[in-house]
Amino acid sequence: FYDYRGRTIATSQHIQNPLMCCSTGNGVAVVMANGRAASLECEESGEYRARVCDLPRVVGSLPPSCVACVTAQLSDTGYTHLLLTPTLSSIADDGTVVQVTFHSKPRAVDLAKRIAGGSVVRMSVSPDATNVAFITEDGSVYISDVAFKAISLLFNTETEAIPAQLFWCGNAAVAYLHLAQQFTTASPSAGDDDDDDIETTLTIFDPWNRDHCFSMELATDVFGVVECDVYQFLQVVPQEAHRMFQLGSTAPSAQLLSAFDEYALESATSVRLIRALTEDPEGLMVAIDDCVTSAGFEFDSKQQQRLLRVASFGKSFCGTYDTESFVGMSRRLRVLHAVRKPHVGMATSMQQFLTLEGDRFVQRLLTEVISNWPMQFAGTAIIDKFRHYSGLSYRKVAQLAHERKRTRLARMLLEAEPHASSQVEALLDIKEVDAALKKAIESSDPDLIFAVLAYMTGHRGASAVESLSSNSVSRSMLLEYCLACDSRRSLLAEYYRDHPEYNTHLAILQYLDEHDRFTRQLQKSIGSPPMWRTYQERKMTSIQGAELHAKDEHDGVLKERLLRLQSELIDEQTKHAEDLNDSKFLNASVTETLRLLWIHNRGDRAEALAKRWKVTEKALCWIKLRALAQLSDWPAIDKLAGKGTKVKPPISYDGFVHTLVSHGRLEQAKEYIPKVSNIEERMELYLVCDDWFGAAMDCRKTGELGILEQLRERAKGNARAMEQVDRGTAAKMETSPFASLFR
Amino acid sequence: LYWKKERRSCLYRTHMASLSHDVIKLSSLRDTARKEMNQLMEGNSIVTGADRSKVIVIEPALVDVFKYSGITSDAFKKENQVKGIFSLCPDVEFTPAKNLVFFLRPNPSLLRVLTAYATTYCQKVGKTSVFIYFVPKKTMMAEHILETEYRLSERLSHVTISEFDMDLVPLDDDVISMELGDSFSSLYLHGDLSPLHWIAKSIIKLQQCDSDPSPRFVEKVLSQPIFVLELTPEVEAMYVVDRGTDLLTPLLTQLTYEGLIEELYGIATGHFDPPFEVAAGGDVKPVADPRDRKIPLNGNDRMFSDIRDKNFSTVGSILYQKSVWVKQSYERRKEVQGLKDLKEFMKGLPEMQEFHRLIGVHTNIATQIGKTTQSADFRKRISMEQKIIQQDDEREVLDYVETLINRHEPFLSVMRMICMMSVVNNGLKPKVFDQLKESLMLSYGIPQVIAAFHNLGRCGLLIRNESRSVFPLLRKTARLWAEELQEANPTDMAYAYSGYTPLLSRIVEAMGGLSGLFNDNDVLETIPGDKAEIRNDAEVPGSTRVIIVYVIGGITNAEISTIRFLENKLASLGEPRHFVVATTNVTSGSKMLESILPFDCKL
Repeated sequence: FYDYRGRTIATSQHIQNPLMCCSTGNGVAVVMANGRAASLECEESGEYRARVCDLPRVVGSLPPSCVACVTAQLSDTGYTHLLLTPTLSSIADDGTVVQVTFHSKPRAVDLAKRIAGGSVVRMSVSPDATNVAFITEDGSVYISDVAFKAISLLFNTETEAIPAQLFWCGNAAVAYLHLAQQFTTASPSAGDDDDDDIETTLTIFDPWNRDHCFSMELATDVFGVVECDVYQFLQVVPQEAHRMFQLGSTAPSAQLLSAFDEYALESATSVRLIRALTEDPEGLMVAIDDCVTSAGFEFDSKQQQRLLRVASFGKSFCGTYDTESFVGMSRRLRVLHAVRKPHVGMATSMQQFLTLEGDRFVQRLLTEVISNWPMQFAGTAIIDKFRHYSGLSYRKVAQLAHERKRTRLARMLLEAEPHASSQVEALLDIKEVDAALKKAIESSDPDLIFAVLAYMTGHRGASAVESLSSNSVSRSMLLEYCLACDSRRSLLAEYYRDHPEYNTHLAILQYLDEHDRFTRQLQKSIGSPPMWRTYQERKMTSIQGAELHAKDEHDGVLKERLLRLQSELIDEQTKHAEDLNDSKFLNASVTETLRLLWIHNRGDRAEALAKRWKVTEKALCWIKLRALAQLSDWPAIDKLAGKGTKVKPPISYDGFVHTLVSHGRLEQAKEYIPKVSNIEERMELYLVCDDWFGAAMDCRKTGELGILEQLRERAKGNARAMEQVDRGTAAKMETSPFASLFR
Repeated sequence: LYWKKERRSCLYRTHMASLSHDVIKLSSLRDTARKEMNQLMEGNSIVTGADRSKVIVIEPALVDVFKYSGITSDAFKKENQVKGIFSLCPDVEFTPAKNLVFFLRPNPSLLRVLTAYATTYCQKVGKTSVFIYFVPKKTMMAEHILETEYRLSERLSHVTISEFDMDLVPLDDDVISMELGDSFSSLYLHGDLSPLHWIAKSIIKLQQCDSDPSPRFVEKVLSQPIFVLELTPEVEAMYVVDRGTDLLTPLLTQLTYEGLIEELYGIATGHFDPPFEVAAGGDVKPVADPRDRKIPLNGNDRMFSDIRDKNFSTVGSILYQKSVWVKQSYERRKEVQGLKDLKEFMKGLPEMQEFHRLIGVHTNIATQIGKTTQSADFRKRISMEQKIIQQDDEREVLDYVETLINRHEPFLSVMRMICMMSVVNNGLKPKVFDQLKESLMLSYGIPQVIAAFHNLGRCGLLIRNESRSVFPLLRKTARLWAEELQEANPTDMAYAYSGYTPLLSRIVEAMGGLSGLFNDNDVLETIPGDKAEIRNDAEVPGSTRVIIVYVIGGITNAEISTIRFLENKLASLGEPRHFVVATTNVTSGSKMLESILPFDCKL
């Protein structure tokens, strides 16, 4: 069992000595040489199962003359029926029919009919499986219901040649076919002259109306007969054409035609005919309509032209004729001509076209184009046509192309799809995932990009990461998605491999998360929160993870060094939090830790750590200053500032001033001001200490009268300040209380 | 729990802007959103069953937006069987109701909390219908994660995921905001496109609210994925400006009255919460609920609208003049002679009383702000900011920053200075960069600083110097720095930052060709980045035309003030235009940096 691409789809089954077989819809029925019949049908499981049964003796040793099948869907029992007719030894014998029912216990029954005319040579079940038509050796044509309860002999074919085919045209008509070569071989006695006269013929008849007529009611008005080099196109002649062209027809259309012909010959008869026609305007209208309709029936363009010309000739005598059908017909004919051209190859009758008109016709045309045209040609043709019409979906066409394995064509068509969402969805339909991603990103519609992302991660897993992370938009979406979904975290591992810096970043984010959570806990509780050790451990794990990843980073030396420092810090903090029973250590930075050590009177340890961790002298000085201020150790601050010595502190004096002022030590702060060299800075510091007097005096002393003026400006509206400024300006130099201190 | 049940009444008594003077019909935006919310709460689209009782859970970032935008005031009331309103957090509040309604942004990081909340609630309370409304739009990702990762519909019997389309919230007659607090980090750090989509949608809304929605337009929007904006004739132009063109301005300290309130205390959806008592004086109405003493800041407050846009240095004298005027008006009662005078006096009395109250409030606020602005630290900071802008005395600025670090000043304020330096100079010199990074790490925590540098770098706020900065050229061409400045009686937009003019304001000025100078095009050409223009050619004579300035990524209050200044200036020149500012959020340097930093820097 192979599928249409030649792949095996089920295990082989051995059928011994098959003689004949026929399709049962989803399998095959076989008649075997040992007097048995079998069916091989596809079960729901996808396996093919054989059912075998013995045939009744009546079949005999010869292969059956005919087999036909009633498919399970259509049979009255719901099981597949096989009909077979035994081969008879003589034309004089009566035939019968054997019915095999393939249910779980297959059974073959001789229906014991007496069918005259020798062996049944052709048999055909109607498409709806209600009737069976068959022909016997002697050319008798029979019709019967499928159960063979009512068999009726219709007629004889009157030729010795057995028809090559017998088949149903719909459920209402039966046709049999004689091929031209059959006549030459079947009747060698006939002269060469006769050969020319007998061609391939197809006889169509209505089994319930034995007049041999061709008045069939088919879905369309045509069917084709395919030979190796000719395509025969058989069509029912419409009534209109009939009326017009029938010999001796007196229909108005026939008269119109003769009038036209006579007119062309410049005969006076035409005048008479026309006059007769115009006397019956309704008849004339019908005549014109007939011409138009007949033109549609014709295949030859010359004939079409002629008929349309006749119609327009008629029209000129009929003022009330509505030209719409005429125009419509001309248009339709143009379409039919176009699609009949060899590179399209769709020979379509007007009737077919009318039934299909609209979507289905386009569908067929597209199928034709997509399946058989060269890609570039087909693509441009379709896009070119579609451009003029809105509302046509490239998606369906592309899907069609994809089904027909024309992927590049499908891509080309989708390229032209203006609607980003259908474009992306269609690209996903046809599994062009990377193109879909590209288009989605171009559309910058987050929902679309996510649709592709979800599809890719769903179908490809980690291998989707590379293409997704090649674009910043899809990358950020991927990361956001993976972080929000625990089940997708594994995808990140793939991403890390190429982006170690992101890995470090994530580990750090994890640390920060722990840190923030811990800090909140710390703020809520009094003293150390009970879980603090766990938090420290978790923080440590995150930091060590980050440190490890930083090693892989291209440019991570500084980062790595400081992350190592951080893990040392965490250790140090844990120790001090325990020793000194101060939970403030637990989330402190390096400088804060050192400051806390000073506050806890562990300055020696702080100094050592500062050295190890390369804390600058300036920073260290600040740490000490802030710690000492917090401890209210004022003399120590003076010492730190090098008061009374020539040593300058590593930081500027305004730091001391600000710190002391913020701790309310205005008087001590003022002592530092004269040490600042810049007059503008000094002025600011005086004001910080609210010492207008000192400021004014300083100005006078240094002779900066411009600045003194500005000082006055600043003091405006503040009576006390004004008074101080005035006093300061007036004061004698010697009265300055600190003038001699720092000289 | 954000506000307790008994406090729920606070929600209904807000003082949002009345929008009585909006030039384009902004009130219709609010009305539409309000109507939709009402319908939602009345049960038309929520529950069809008999028991309409509901508990509402709101994402913390949306609480203030809902509370102060006036959209939920009618809807969240007892008549609608609202049993409780809570904030979405890990602690679940078990007030029983038949319906549990969530409102949140479609932010994936919130979904875990959401799922936990909903399942815990349903387990304890019993059969409950859960409704999840994403604001303003649901995203496929959020829906997908709820369905496939958290399997919400399997775990709960009845879940509906929908959206509540509230995007633009009118804050004032001329300011509308999407109130996306983290729009900057979404767009610049996370590269999230969703806000851009919401912005595009909101622009459509703006057009619709401006005039009656024409069926043709609606049809166009429905039928085409890409559409060309057609602005209605009253709108002369819409300038869409990206914050990325001007990262510097938000980092600077705003020096207008409103800007300083934002800088020092923070403004949320047009309201601020003063950490001090503002109601002074005997005749001032006491605040009804001491726990909800937030003060509305919008054009309804006539005193505020006089001083909000002014440089803070002039606010004191304006308040003083006004109080003198009020006092004089009061005094007039002594001159009342007859009935006519009395009537006249009585007519003006309520206004005077109201002014009196407002002067009191703002004098108190201004006094508090003044304490900061007069401090040496603040003055030093401003002078340093100005030095950075003038690219002057780099050594001194660096020393200053170093001192800030050593003094352990708040992280955000230090980072603002450093980012400012980086933005102006197109990155810091590698040596300076590394030095600062290391001292920051030692002072503020190593992981914190690494993460901060990572994120700030990605947003372009803090980078290693790579190429020469275009800022000097820009400063010159766009006249970003004014040497001569009259803060009290300004002639240029430079007053809002005491000398510096926001580039964004210059762009607006230049785009409209409004500066009256020849170099408008030069200004636009100097700005790096893509530019595109859509203009409405149709001219409507008579009515004053409107220019909408849409700022993506946030605008500062001081920048809004400069745009108002521009509006006044144009009116005085006889070329009146109305400006309407639309934005993703009203921002400040701290808000911007805070949204970028991956840790809580206030802890």
